[in-house]
This record gives sequence, structure tokens and C-alpha cells, in this order.
Amino acid sequence: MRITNEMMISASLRRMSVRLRSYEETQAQLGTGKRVRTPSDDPAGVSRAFSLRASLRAREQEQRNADDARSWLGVTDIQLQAATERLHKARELAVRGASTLRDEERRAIAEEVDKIREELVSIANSRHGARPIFSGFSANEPVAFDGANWVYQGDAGKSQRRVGESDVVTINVNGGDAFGFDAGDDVFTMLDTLSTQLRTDDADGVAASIGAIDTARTRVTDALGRVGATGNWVASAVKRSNDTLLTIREELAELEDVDIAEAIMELKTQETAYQATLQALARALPPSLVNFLR
Amino acid sequence: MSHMVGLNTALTGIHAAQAGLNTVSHNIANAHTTGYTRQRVNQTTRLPWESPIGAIGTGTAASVGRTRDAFLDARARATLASSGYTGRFSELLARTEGVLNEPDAGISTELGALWNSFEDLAATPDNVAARLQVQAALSATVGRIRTISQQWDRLSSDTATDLAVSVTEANDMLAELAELNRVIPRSGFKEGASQPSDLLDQRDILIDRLSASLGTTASYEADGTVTLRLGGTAVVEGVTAKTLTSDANSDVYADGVAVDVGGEAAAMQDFVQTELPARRAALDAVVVTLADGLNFQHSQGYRRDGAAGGALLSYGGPSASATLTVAIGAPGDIAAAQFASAAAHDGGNAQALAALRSTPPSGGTQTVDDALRAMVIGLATGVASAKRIADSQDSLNVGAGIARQSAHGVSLDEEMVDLVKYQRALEAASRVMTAIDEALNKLVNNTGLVGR
Repeated sequence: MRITNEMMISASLRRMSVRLRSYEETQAQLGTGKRVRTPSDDPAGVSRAFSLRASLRAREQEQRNADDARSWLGVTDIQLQAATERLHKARELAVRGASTLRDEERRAIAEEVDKIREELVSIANSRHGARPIFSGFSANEPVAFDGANWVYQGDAGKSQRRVGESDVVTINVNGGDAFGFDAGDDVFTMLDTLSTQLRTDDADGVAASIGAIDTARTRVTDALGRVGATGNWVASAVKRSNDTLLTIREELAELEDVDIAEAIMELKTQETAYQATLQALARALPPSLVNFLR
Repeated sequence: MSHMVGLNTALTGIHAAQAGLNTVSHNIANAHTTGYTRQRVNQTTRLPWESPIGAIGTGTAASVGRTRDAFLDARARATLASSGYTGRFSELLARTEGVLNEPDAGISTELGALWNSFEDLAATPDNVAARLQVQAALSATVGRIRTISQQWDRLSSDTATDLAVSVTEANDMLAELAELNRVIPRSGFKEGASQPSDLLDQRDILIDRLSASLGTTASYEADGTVTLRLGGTAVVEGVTAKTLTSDANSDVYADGVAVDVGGEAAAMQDFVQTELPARRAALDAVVVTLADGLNFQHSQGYRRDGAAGGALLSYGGPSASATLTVAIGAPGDIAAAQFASAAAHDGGNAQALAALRSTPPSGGTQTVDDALRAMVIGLATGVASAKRIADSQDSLNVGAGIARQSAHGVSLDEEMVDLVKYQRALEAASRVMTAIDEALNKLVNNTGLVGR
């Protein structure tokens, strides 16, 4: 093949620009820290990264949801514990009232039962933030006295939070269920009845009310059990979500991020190659017959 | 008589050597001129003089010509046209992809924020801030899609304008070519003999440029003219050139008759007419999946005031991505509630809307995120393969260019050798002339002086 000067120059220039381009690419990778800048750099990798990123965002949201669920469950747990404790106290009072003969003592016990009923109303109407805990979806006060009866003003709504990819948990306890409205014997009417029985010295009635208190307590502890179980579920879902999050971050970094050590080695190699090209060009171009003919 | 012949013979040698020196000088001067073809002095012996003692040579006949290889030209022009096509096509496709801004700041990012805003709304449906958040995320998603649509529109119209500009430039070149067709036969064009080399070089440059931009094919006629064709239509024939025009649809016409173009023009045409519309249709399909999926689920829920949720997004016309808008006005219009009672803390439908992040919309088979991913990766794969093809075409093009340079280019070493060669030839021919002159001098001035 006949080699001409123009050929050598344009070929050298081309080689130089090819070298410079890969040099620039590696430099850009190092500068941005990203191996892939547009999807076409690595379609298969980006396709994977796409679902990983979507998954990452979902998992991060789950962490937020789980935080919310945990605080909600925590508050519910505290109120239900208090309710159990109050009902326990009411049972003790009822037992004492059943065997007490003096009127003024029974009246004092009845007063105390009335107090416990009031406390339970305030527990049932407690709020987390501005939202009533036991009212379902409704914003109403869950429990109220309408002049004749105790009524449940909430609804049966189940507040749910997604705390894992397929872990949707119900985080609220329904007042209608926990306080016996659904079953038709709510704890407030029952305590009112007990108070009246104590005042009127209705020993049989008081004995029956002790059984009713036990039923009411069982309902509340059942609800407590559900709250605790849900709490465990949330905790395990969060742990799984956390583990997944770590794996996803690792895999994403693997897919998208530059291996710094490797990239610097590459940059160094390319730098050397570029300098070698320059040197070769500097050596190859000048000599020509022109220099030697006198 | 024979002496006079000798003088003349020496003179032809001097002329040839001078022509050689001039050509060397011309070659060196144009060593780096674009499209320049090395010129050579071709020498042949002249017809001999039939003397009584036999045929005596009468010197040399010199002619100057180009060292051009028509086969290499044809090969180089074919690769010019195809590398023009693939190069331009991959560049346009890469710009199409760039508009998407994936994976860092594209639709996928906005969608992720949208799903999360639905989950936050599900947790606090009575909170206006959460509703505003959903509205903002919807607007951002719609805005991102609309921006992409607009930028693609602009890319399409810019490309159509580029095509119109290159067609206009081509018209100038076609006219120049027709003019060269007129001049070249008059400047003593003869195949293989003395040629108007520099004019031929100019013409070859024009043909090269037209091959790359329009994919023309050239055929050399016996009378020294070149016929240039686009598809099957002659656009330059003899001294007449047709006028090319392009219309809004990027179709190209020669004097009003539609012609098939190649090269860069075909890349622009294909991009505007088929490639971009196909990409837009893919985006539109994703937008329809998103809008219909959200709207269906939204209509299942209830607004703050208890009314059934209507559409969340609306679109119409031929392109969903160009017409997508947020259909709700007030934050309370977002149907977060699952039940008609629309209780303050009922976020069931917001939860269901958020679930669309990982479940296909009603009646669909893939999630919105997956549909989007398929669209983006489809485009990315297209760009990657277009780049690969363009790179390989480019190296073919470089190879063909090197082969041409090798045959047509100026080698300074070669010219130096020629310089010495013709210098010596000139000196020798001059010496011969002096010798004959001296002999004649002797003959003219000293004849008959014998014995003096």
C-alpha cells in the first residue's frame, strides 16, 4: 500500500481523537461517579436498575409507613393497657361490693365505679394527633351519651398501612368492637348498671356484673393481643424491608456506579496510551526525504 | 537536417522535464488540499523520423493527468452514503433518548414520587397538605410527559428544517455540477489523455458531498459529463440540473416529482416519518395505561364531599402525551375514601391508587412502571444498536477513505524523488542541446577553414 503524508496525518489525528474520546469517557465516569449515564450505555443494566429504583422508592415509603404504623400501634397499646387495668380495678370493686353490707361503703364503691367509667370514656375518646384512636374512619368522638344510652359514633373503617411489599396491616382497633357496642353490651352501660346495683344493694345483680366485667376485659385484651401481633408483624416486615433495601442499594451501586480503583487504573492506562500516540506522531511526521536532499 | 532534429528532440525533453517540475510543484502545493488528486506527467515517445538509415527517435510527448481510481471512488461513495445515514440516524435517536432524561430525572422519578404521595395520602386523608402533595406530584408527572412530548415535537421540526436546509445546499451543488459538466468537455477532456485535472477534482468533491448528504449515484459519460441520479431519477444530466424541494412531511421532490433519497437526508426523513412517530406511539401507550389505570381506580373512590371520584387525568386527540392534563381542581376532589360515607380518615382508595405501583391496572397485564420501563429500554436498545452500526459504518468509511488517499494522495517523498529526477532530466537535455549547438557551431563557422 502506498502511504501518503495526508494519510499519515489524518490517521494519526483519528487515532488521537479515538484515544481522547475514551479518555474523556473515563474521566466523565469518574467525575459523575456513574458508570451509566444514559440508558443506551447499558440497556440491560438500566432495565434492571429501573425496577431496582422503583423498588427502592417503594421500600423507602414502607419505612415511612411502618414508622407511622408503629407510633399508631404504640398509642393504641398504651390506651388499651390502661383500659384493662381500669377494668381490673372495677372487678375488684365489684367483688368487694358484693360482700360489703354497709350502705355508705357500697356508695363509696359505686362512686369509684362511676369514676372508672368516666376514665374509660376518656380512654375510648383518646386521640393520636387530632384523630380519635377508636373511631374507625370517622372523625367523630367515638363514645358519647345521647341522653338515654351510650352510643358508638365511629364507623367500622379499617386503617391500613403497607409496611412490606405484600404486607398490608390494619393498625386501628375499632371502638365498637373493643368496647362491646357491636355485641350489644357496651362496657359503659354495664358499669352504670353496676353502680346502680351497688347503690340499691342488688347482690345478685353485682355478682352477674362481675361476669360481664370479665367479658368486657376479654374483649379489650383480645384487642391488645391483636395490636401486639400487628406490632410484631410490622417489626418483621421492617426488618425484611431493611434487608431488601441494603441489597437493592448494593446491586444498584454495582450496576450504576463506577468502580473507582478500576476507573483510575483505566484512566492511567488511557493517559499513557494517549501520550504514546502523541510521541509516535511527533516522531513519525517530521522525517521525510525533504530533510535529506541538499 | 539530422542536427536540427536533434535540437528539437532535446527541446521536447526540456519541455517534458519542465512539465514534470511544474507538476511536482503543483502536487507539493496541494499536498493537503481536500479532494486533491496527485497529478502525473505521462511521457510517450513521439513518432520517429524515417531516415534513410532507419527510424530515428524524435523525442518525447508529455501529458498531465490524474491518478484517479474510479472503482475506489464508487466504493467510497457507497460507504459515504451509508455512514451518512447511520451516523445521522444514531445521532437523532440519541437526542430522542436524551429528552427522556432517564434514569435520573425522567418520568420514572416523577411516578415514584406520585405513588409515594398516594401512600402518604392514605395515611392522612384528612390532611390538606397530603392532598396538595398528590396534586403537585400529578402536575409534575404530567408536566414531565408534556415536556418530553414538546421536545420531541421540536426535534421533529428541527430535523425537517435541517433536511430543507441540506436540500437547498444540494441545489447549489447540483447547479455547480451542471456548470462543470458544461466546462469540462470544452477544456480538452479526453479519457486517459491530458485532462482538466483540477476541474475533475472539484467535480469529484461535489459528488462525494452529495453522496453523503443525499445518497446520489454518479455515472461518468463518454463525453466527459457526469449524470447524477437520486433513486432512478436523473437530477443532473448534461448541463441541466433539477431543483430539489422538500415539503412539511420531509418528502423530497426533484422539479416536483417525488424522489427517493439516501444518505443523511434519508436518515432525517426516516426519523421524522417513521422512527419518532413510533417512539411517540410507545410513549402514548404508556400515558394511556397510566391515565386509564389511575382514572379507573380513582372513580371507584369518593371525594371529601362524598361525591364519586371522576377522572384524575384527562387526555384527548391523536397524541395522549401531548394532551395530558390533571383533571381535578381542588385538593378535596381527590377521591381518597373507599366508602361513600367519605369519613375523614378513610384513605382506602388512596391505598388502592398507591397499589398501582406494583399491580397492573384493572384489565391490564403489566404495571405502569413496567410499561414505562419497556418503552425506555426499547428506545435505549434502539440507540445502542444504532450507535454500534454507525461506529462500524464509520470505520468502513474510514477504510474506504484511506484506500482512496493511498491511491490519490500526494506523497512528499515521491515528489522529492520526482523533483530530483526531472531536475536531472532538464540538466541532461540542456547538455544535449549545448552539445548539438557546439557541433553546429563547428559546422557553420569552421567548415572550409581546413589548413588555415
